[in-house]
Amino acid sequence: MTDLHWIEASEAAQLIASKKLSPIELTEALISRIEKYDVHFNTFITFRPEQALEEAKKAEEKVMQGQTLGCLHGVPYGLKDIINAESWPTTAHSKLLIDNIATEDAHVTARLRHSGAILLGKLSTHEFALGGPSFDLPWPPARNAWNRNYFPGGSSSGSGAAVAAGFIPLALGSDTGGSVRNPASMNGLIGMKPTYGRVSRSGVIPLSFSLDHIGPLTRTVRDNALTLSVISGYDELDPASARTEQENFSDNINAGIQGLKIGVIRHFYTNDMIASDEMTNAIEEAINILGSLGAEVLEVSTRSLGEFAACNRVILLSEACSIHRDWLIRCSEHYGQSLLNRLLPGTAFTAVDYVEATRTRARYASEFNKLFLEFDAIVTVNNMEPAPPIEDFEACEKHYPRQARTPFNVTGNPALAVPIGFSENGLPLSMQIVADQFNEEMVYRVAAAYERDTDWAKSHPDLDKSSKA
Amino acid sequence: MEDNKIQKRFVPEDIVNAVGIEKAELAAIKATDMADKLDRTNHWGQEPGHVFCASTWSSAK
Repeated sequence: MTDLHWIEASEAAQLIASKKLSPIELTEALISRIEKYDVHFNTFITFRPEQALEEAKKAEEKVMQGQTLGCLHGVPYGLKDIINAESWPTTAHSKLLIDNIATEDAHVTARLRHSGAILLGKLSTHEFALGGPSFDLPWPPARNAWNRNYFPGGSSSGSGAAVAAGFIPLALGSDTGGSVRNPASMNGLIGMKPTYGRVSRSGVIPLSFSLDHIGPLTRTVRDNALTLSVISGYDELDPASARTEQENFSDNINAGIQGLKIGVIRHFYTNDMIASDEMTNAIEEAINILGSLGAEVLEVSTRSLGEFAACNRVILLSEACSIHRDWLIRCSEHYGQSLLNRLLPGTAFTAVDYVEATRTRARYASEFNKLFLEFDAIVTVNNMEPAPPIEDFEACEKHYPRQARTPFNVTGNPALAVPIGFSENGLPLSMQIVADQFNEEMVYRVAAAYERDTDWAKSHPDLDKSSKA
Repeated sequence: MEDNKIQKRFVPEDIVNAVGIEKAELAAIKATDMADKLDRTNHWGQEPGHVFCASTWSSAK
C-alpha cells in the first residue's frame, strides 16, 4: 500500500469498506503528518484531532457491524473556513468573525457527513475569500506545499496547500473569480469550479451571490469526480440551486477522448495577456497530448480576458459591498489591509454600473456557450506564470489578475484546473478544461484521459525539503 | 476628439468617514477605471444575467 498520506480518497474508502484499512489508522496517520509539518504551512485555522479520532472510531464500528456505508466512509477531509460545520468556528480568516460558531452544517458539509467523511479541520483562506495573502490577520497565511516561500494561490489557499501536502486527500473551496482553480494550480492539484447552481452555497459565507461556486480540490481526477458527486444536487435553501438529478460524475471517466472535438482559447495567453515561456510551453505540450490521444484540437476565440475581468469585477465588488457595507462603516479597522483595498472600489460603483455588468454577463455567457454546439470541451491556460514569492507584496499583487479563470465565473460553465508540469524552480503549472453547462462529466473525461497519459498526479512535494526551502 | 471617459465614481461619505480620505480616493480611482472598462454595448432589450425567476421562489411540491 502507498504511504497513507498519499492514498486517494476513493481508494481509502474502498479499503475501509473491505476492512483492509482502518479509518482510525488513516486518521492517525494524517494527524501525525499535520502535527509534524503544518507549523510550516499554516493550512489549518481550526484542527480537531480528538474529535476526528472519535468519529474514526465510530466509522470503524459501523464497518465491523456491516452497516451500509457512504462512498467516503471513514475518509478525513477539510473545509475552507467560510463553510459552516455545526459547532465549529467559521472565521472567514477574519478578526471580524473570530468568535463566530456555526449552529448548523452547510448543505455541502451535511452531504459529506452523510457520505461518511470525517471533518479534520477548517482551512485558511484569504480574508472573506477576497483579500490576501495577508500578514495582518489573526492567523498567518497558508504557504505553498511545494515551497513554503511561495504563494499557495487563493482564496482557498489552505485547501490547496493541505491537500498537496498530504494532510488530507480532499478539501472544499469556493470560487468567485477563480479561488478553487488558483490554489489547485499553484499546488499541482485537480480543482473544480462546477456549473453555477450545481452545488449549493447555503451555509457558506458569501462573497458575491451570483458568482460564488463551491468545489472540490483533490490530487486525482477520480477523487474530484467522486467528491463532486457527493456534494452536488438541489437545495431549496440556495435560490440559485439547479433542480438537477443526483449524478455520478465518475461514470464516464474512462471513456477516453478519441474523436472528441476540443477547442483551444490561445488568445487568452498569447494576446490578451502574455504567459511566461515555461507556461506557454507546458500548455502547448498538454494540447499536443490531447491531440495524440485522438481528440481533434482546433483553435477558437471568445471575448478578451479584459472584457470578462471588467464584467466580473463590477458584479463581484458590488455584491460584496452589499454584504460588507455595515461592517465597513462600523468597524473597518478590523479588516486586513489587502481585503479593504480590494473591496472598497465596490462602494463607488453606481446602480447602473452593476445592472449593465449583469446584462453584459448574460450576453457574454450566451456567446460563449454557442462554442459547445461545435466543441465537446475547451482548454486554456490557468495562471500566466507559476507562483510568486509569498512575501513579495508587489509580485503577489501583479500576479493576482494575471489569470484566465474569471471568464468561467462570468459564464457559469464548469472549469477544472489540471496540473501540466513544473517550472524550472519546481513549482506546479496548470491548465483548465471547460465544458458546456452541467457537463462536468465531459470535463472529467478529458482530464482523466490526460491524467492517465502523464505522471503529474503521481508527483508529490517532499515536505522535509519544501518546509525548509 | 470626443472624450468617452465616464464620470469619476465616488465612495459614499459614510464609507469615507470610516476608512479615511486617502483609501477612499484610491478606491474611487480604481472604481472609475473598472467602470470605464466595462463593455456597455448591450441592446436595449438585453436582460441581466440573473433576472427574477418566479419558479426559483416557489415552494417545492
